[in-house]
Amino acid sequence: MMTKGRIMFVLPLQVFFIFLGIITGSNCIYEDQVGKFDWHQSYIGALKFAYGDASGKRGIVATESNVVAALNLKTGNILWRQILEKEPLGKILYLSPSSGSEAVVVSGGSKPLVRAFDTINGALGFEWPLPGELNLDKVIWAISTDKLYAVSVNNGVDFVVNQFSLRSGSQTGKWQHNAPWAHKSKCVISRDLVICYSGKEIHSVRFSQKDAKAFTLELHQQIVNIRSVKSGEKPGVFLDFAENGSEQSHQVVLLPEQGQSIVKCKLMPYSAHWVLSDPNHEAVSVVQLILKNKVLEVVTTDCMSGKKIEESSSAFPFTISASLPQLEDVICGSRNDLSLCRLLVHTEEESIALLHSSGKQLWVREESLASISVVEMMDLPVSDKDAAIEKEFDNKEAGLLGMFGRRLVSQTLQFQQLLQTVFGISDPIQPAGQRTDLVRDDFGLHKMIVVATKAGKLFGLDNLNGEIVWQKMLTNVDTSSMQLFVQRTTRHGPYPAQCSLLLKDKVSNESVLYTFDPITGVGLKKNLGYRVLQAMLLSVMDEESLRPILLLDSEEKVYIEPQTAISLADSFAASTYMYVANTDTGIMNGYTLAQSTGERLVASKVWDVVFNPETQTLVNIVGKSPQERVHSQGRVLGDRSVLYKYVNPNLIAVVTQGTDPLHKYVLNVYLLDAVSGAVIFSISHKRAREPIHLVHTENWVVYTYFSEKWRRTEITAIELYEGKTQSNSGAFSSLLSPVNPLVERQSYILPAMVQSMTPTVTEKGITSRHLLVGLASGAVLELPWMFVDPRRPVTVTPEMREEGVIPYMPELPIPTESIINYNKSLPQINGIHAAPSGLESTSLVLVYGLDLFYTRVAPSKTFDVLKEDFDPFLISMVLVGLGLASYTTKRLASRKALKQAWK
Amino acid sequence: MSSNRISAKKYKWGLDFPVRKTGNQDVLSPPGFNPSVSQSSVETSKENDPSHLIIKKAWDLALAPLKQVPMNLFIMYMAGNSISIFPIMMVGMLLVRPIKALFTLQSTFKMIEGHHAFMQKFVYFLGNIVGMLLALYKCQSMGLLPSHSSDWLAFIDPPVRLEYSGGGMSLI
Repeated sequence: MMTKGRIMFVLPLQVFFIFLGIITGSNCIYEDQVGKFDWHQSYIGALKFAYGDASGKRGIVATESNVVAALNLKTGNILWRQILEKEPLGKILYLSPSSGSEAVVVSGGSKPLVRAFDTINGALGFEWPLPGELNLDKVIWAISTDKLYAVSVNNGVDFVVNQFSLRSGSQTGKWQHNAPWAHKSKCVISRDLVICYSGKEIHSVRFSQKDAKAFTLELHQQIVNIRSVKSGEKPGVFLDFAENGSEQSHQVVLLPEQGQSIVKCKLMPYSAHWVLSDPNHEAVSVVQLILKNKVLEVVTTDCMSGKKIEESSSAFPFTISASLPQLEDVICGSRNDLSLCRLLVHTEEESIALLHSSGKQLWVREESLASISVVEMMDLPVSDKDAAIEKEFDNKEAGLLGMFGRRLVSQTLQFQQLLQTVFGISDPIQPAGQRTDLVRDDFGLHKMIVVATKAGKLFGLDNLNGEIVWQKMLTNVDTSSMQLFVQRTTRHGPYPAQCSLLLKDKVSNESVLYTFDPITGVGLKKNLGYRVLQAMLLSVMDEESLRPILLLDSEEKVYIEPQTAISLADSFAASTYMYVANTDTGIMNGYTLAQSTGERLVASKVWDVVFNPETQTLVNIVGKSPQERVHSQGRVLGDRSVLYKYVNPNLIAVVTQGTDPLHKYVLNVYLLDAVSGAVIFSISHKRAREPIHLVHTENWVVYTYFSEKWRRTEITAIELYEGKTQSNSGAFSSLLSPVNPLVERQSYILPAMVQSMTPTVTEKGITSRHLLVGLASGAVLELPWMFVDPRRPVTVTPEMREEGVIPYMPELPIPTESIINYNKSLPQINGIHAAPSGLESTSLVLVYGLDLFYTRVAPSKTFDVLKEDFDPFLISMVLVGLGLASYTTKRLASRKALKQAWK
Repeated sequence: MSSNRISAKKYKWGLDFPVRKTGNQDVLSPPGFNPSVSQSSVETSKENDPSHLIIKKAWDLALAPLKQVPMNLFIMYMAGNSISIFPIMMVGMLLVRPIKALFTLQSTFKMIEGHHAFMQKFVYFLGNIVGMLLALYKCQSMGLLPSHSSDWLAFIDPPVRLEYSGGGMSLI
């Protein structure tokens, strides 16, 4: 009886969910579709610590992205990867091999955790927190014979050694050494020695002994930098000496064990180096890397004699970086044969590479792709054949004869190409290094993903397989505030597409504009010579179909790039507005360019809004995408009347986080008109705090926040309507239109932590929009807008049912079918980029973070594509067959009728 | 002579049964039977009969669409306002029939003659118009007519943007 009752209760719920599944359309894919439309690339982030493990097969690495991983040294693939917590808890402070086959990692903020991972499978061996407080800024870590040492240096006084048992985590000792010369930035640990420099001297103390005496070595040059020798049996340091004229010199100093002498050898200037020592402690050789004119030289020298060992020295072209790579480890296998060493290096561009000492590049990992900050998806250019046709119809003033002539020429060309393809004659030779398949396809699904990373590296990725088509390193740039502008798309042949990346110079802090072709990556860097406060694309194109960039500098002067477009900008200046928000002062300013003259663009302040920094801080400003298209201007109600949308293209959403003595955290959202500065709507949530993710498109704003009161993530949707009549259906002006739209709003519970949120984008905006929500669990949820609709009613009236809104339920479902990355969890999602394809139904999605995941979504199903099981061949065969059959039967019938008549 | 003439007139057509031929031809009329009286009255009615019938028939034809109206009203009431296959089919029939009739007006009007013709043609036309209006009313009440602003929503162009704005957080 009980079970029966329960079933009765469960059934309606199930029916409801099935119903939901039907109306929203399940987006999950079949098993055989895995990897058909999507790809996934795993990364580890910028290298921080690395070593090759004892087997010589694995490289154990720890990175800036809080990842501990093992790389297969043969292929460069990830064998296992452990992702630690977010900063500060997961920040890796130290990585070292233990005496067993474990990698010991110290990570964390004020209370570090010590963990050991098995190098073979990445399993956690042990984990313990450090007892007591440590000032981590002062600590140098070391592991020696199953003991972990935390050496904290009190600058100019002494250093305190804390000794812990590696296995149990208990503190086994604490002592201190007087060291007036010690300074954290000038000290390193090699083996069990603390080695410091001061002036021309180096001092060392065996920290693992309580009463060890300091040892001082006098050198003859001013020392400016010290690095420890990590390899070999002997403790030692690499020293950089002060530049003497233009000459920089390095030296390696190996400090003596008992009864041995100091080994000192000179190193080549501007090199990366590594010490290789023989097991029999006699010969010491040094591997040095020198980069000269894009040729990397690997030079192995015998330390004693200074002679070059030819068998393990080589030189080869080095293309992955413009600067000298850093040597992380030299892995020589068990036989210690110098000619078989592999060099694990990492570059300034955050790539990791394994080089063979004989001069081969075994593999390269582009780890800067783990820190993407801006993404754009570009259409590919049309093929030469299509371009010729386009060109034919392009010029209309040619007159009848000219047009005819061009038609003849293009058709001869087409005929020639047809002959070539028929007889298998290959196409004319393409320029080297350029791929022939990078042309636009019929449905516009093949695109170029242009990404700019925090390391200052630009990539062009093929969106079908994630392959790197081109890459470009920008040197000496500050990437903290990057902006990417698409000035010209590929639709304006014969001009190539053009993008511009706005960055800052690292030294002068002045703005730098890198203008490039997104298909080839070839471009030009230009120092602007002023500091850009804010930039925007002009709304119109010049005669070369290029959208100029308007730049407002720190002195409120306006510049335009390219400068030839100034007259064009002037003619549209009266309708161009800019706004800038300053986080420190909390002031938002709006500018107009209306007072510009033909020679000079002038920005004059028209409005300001002050968010008092004492009570609230600006967190985020989200405007609408300039390319956005809204197809439907209203919403059909149950009584078949229309509720017109308030689609203000100049509306911006401003998020501020306030503090309040009573409610602690207050979250405010303001909807501002960027032209007039009017506050259209504002809302505040008490006891709500970051992380806040906001999406702003069409006539709605959706944002998520953490509710401190209920300790859960909530999602709020705001929708703006003009009312049942449209005040002006022809044009929208922020200055003239009614300011008070109708506002609908509703909040829901999202039972997950949100990392990133973005709406799907389609070409014409006809397809319904879905929200793509990146969750902390590594899933990317495709949430239909229908679910967060603010018009979902609590009490269902027949009219509402007619309108087709789902009844209100506080908690949003997370069905596993709507997770677009199925079982491929994506750690540390930073952002999601959605771009339209040539098909109205389909939106292309790139999820970036530590990993890259690309797929395509169809929010309203693929209504403009034939089903996969549609068989044109079969259908045409049936049609032809039927046609033939009817024709023959007709003939037969007439023959029979004739025979009958003769009878 | 006169009786001959009368008899010739009397028998416009006749069946000569052999019995009658072989039997007594000159059977006298029963007393009080005046053949001329009945003959003459029949004569007059017969004179007007064809045109009367034509007019009657034409009126039948002209009124047929109007006579269907109550039936159609009943069908409409029974069909209800929900949109499903049968009501749609019924509404389709209701709509298609008068339209078809209106298209074949010329051929229908050929059948109507006589001095009521104009009136009849008008009534027939009116009847079909009424039928069509009924069908349209049904469409309207079923919500099949694009009479609401929501039906034209997809054709509204997005308004032209008069001002352009851009910006964001300070880049410095």
